[in-house]
Amino acid sequence: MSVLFLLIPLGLLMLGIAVWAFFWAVANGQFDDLSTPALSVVMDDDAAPPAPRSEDGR
Amino acid sequence: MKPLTCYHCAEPVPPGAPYRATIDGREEPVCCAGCQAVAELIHAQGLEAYYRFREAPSPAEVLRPEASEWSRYDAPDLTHRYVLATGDFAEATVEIGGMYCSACVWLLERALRRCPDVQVVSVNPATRRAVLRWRATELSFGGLLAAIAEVGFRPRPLAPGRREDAAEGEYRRALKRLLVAAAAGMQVMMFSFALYAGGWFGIEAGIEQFLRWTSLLVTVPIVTYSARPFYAAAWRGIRAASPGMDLPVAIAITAAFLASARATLAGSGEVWFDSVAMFVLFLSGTRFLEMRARHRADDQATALARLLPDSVTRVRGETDETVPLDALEAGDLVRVRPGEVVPADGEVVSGMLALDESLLTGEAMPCSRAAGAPVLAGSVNRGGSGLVRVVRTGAETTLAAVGRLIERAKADRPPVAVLADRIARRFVPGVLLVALATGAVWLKLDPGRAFEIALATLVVTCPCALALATPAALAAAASALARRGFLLVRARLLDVLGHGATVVFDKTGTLTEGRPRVVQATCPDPDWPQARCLALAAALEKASGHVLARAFDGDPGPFRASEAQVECGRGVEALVDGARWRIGSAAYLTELCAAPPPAQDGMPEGCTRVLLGNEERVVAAFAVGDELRADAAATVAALEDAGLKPVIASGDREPAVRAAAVALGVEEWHSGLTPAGKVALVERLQARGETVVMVGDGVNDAPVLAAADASIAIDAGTALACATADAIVPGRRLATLLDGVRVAAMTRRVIRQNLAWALAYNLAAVPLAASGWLAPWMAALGMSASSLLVVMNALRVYRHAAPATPVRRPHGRALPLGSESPA
Repeated sequence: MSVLFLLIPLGLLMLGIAVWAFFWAVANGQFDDLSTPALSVVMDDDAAPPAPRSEDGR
Repeated sequence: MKPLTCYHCAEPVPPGAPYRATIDGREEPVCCAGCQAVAELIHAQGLEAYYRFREAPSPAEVLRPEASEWSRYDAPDLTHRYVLATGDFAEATVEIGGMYCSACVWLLERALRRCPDVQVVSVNPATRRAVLRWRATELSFGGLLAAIAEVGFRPRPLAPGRREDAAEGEYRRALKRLLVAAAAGMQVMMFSFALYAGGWFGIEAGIEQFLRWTSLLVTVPIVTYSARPFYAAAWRGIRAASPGMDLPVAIAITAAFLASARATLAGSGEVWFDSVAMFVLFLSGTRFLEMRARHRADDQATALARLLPDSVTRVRGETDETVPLDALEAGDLVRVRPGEVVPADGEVVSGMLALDESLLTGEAMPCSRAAGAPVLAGSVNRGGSGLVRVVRTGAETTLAAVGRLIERAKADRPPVAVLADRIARRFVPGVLLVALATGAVWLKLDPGRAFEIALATLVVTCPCALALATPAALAAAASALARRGFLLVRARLLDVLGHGATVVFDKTGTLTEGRPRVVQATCPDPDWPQARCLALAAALEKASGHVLARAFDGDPGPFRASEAQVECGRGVEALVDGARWRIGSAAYLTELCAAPPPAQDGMPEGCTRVLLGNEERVVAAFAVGDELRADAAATVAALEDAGLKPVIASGDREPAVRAAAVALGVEEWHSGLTPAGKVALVERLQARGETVVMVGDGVNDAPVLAAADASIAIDAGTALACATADAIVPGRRLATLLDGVRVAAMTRRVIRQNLAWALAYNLAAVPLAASGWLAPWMAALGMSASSLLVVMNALRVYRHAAPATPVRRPHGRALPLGSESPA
């Protein structure tokens, strides 16, 4: 069981890294909008780029 | 009327509207030229995925300012105010009106990326803000705003000082606290399981000590970082001499942690790190959910000043100049054009304005203001134009006074809240006293066990389950409701919204669409079919700019009106293809043409009759009215089934309100009420012992929204109404109210179950703990299990949120706008 003395500190170290990464992500605004990025993957489909907008735009 | 709905905005298409958007070669019906343009533009840019992914139909085009409207932002004063220039590039923050969901964000981003000069776009739907960066040498600010308006949004530049960073900071801090509590809490639970198992099956002393030290280490950030808001709240309670639930929470966290730490240092005794961690995690989680719901609602509810324009046209001598609103002073002359908002209280100097003062007075019909008449800031000019001399600006205006009225009404708290506070004030010291008394008694009986038993008592008595019972259910309800487009701002609504409550509806804009429509058209002449008549009417009314003209805001087609003359309160006359045409009241038409107007059978009650004709004949008779929302009747009926009593309170005229009440089957209705009259009505109902839930939309509703026991702002376009409402329904579905009622009933049931359980548990556990039968670990386990049970029960509310209430879309029935004849 003495391997626990190594594994638990290792686990805590990884926890620390995870928390640090999370704080970094929050500070970078990664969590400000949780729904759009998920959808934008679906929506940016392979349709050919449409023609540039005409002058009057409608 | 065929229930055709607009491809873009899902509003019913007016009968005979000639608009079709060509999408993929198919013709899709759209309701107006604006929607047609937007739908075709979206398609032409290959963005039709928007229609598949959007969560709610786009807002209908109400006022589409022309491109020239945006060019005023190119004035150096305004550009300087909103735009931050860095070299060739410029940056600005713009609020995007009409952006509801992720699909909207996507649409905006894609549309803007097509502009080669726009470099960085970041759009946040939660705050409805876009940060734009563009090449200032190629594209003007006004041009950029026009490009946004072109895809159907309503951009509104924000001055850098007005960005609201406070909410974002709070959100990020709470998110970090929650994650630390969750991540560390799971570690602590894991170690605790090992310790509990060790307690049963035996464990090596060295490993046990190691696990306890590790638990201590991992719990430190939870207690010192994640739980900090609880200490702050407890301290605020102490300083205000009215300790809330946070005080025992803070004491239990601190005491359990300190005792556990002491036990760890001493190498013997029980530890309760797991209880501390789970406690903090559960409470942080519920507070986090509550905070998000609050932010989403607050965000739509910002300042009153938002109603006023950013820039005004000031007249100095012979020249017009565009200046920021702040620059306006008493005595200045301001030009007010059709569609513009009056920027300050003042007096008409010349010209004629048709002012929609519904924001301030609740009166739906615009009133004419000629030279010498007073005008109020916030009124919308629906027709005519003129010069206004500014009398009062800023905080001195009536609009600002309405805002202060609301603040005062808000400060007056409902009796339920006061009662709850009083109970809490007594309960919390009671908890502390019981724990202290137990400790004192045991200090005499068995000093060695005194601390342990006192702590066990505090942990058991600690109203965790009791504290969680309500907020957990409320948070679950808030998110369940938010998913259905019902944003809960204050929880008191759920208490009130249920059996026996009286629901007072405002009429205009709440039960009705809030704008005029052609409800019926009679066109007897075969040469003049309905579509042709509507196009001609549109051409004539384009010239007038009157409020009823909005019913005829269709495409004028081939017709061009010239030499238009508006006769206020009666109609419009203009030359079309060489013939003199008039549109307006029957009397006005008779002056031009002796022929009898077409008979109009079954004219919907209360509608305004509008005739169209030339010197030889009258070709069409229209019935114009404000239609009930399609789901109004079904919603009112369902509310009555649920045991709620609907009441209509409107500032509109009596026939219009009566027609609405009859159409909806509402027995009690009140018409012609001023905002103060509505407040008095609500107070009268409350004096009868009724619980009043107010449903409204406009600024004129705001005082009454605040006076009612609870309030809901629906179709919440108006920022101010949101600020006072207990819940906000941003969408246009009235039936969302039913979801609210259902979830409220479920929530109350769950809260009652939770409170009953928590009380029963505490009553059973306190004597056991106080008599020394419960070890602290049992108390902690019982407390955790009890809390878990309560939270799981609360989460049922979230799962309970069944599919959206299906709403029939019956024929919209016509309602009068008032008896005044059209322009």
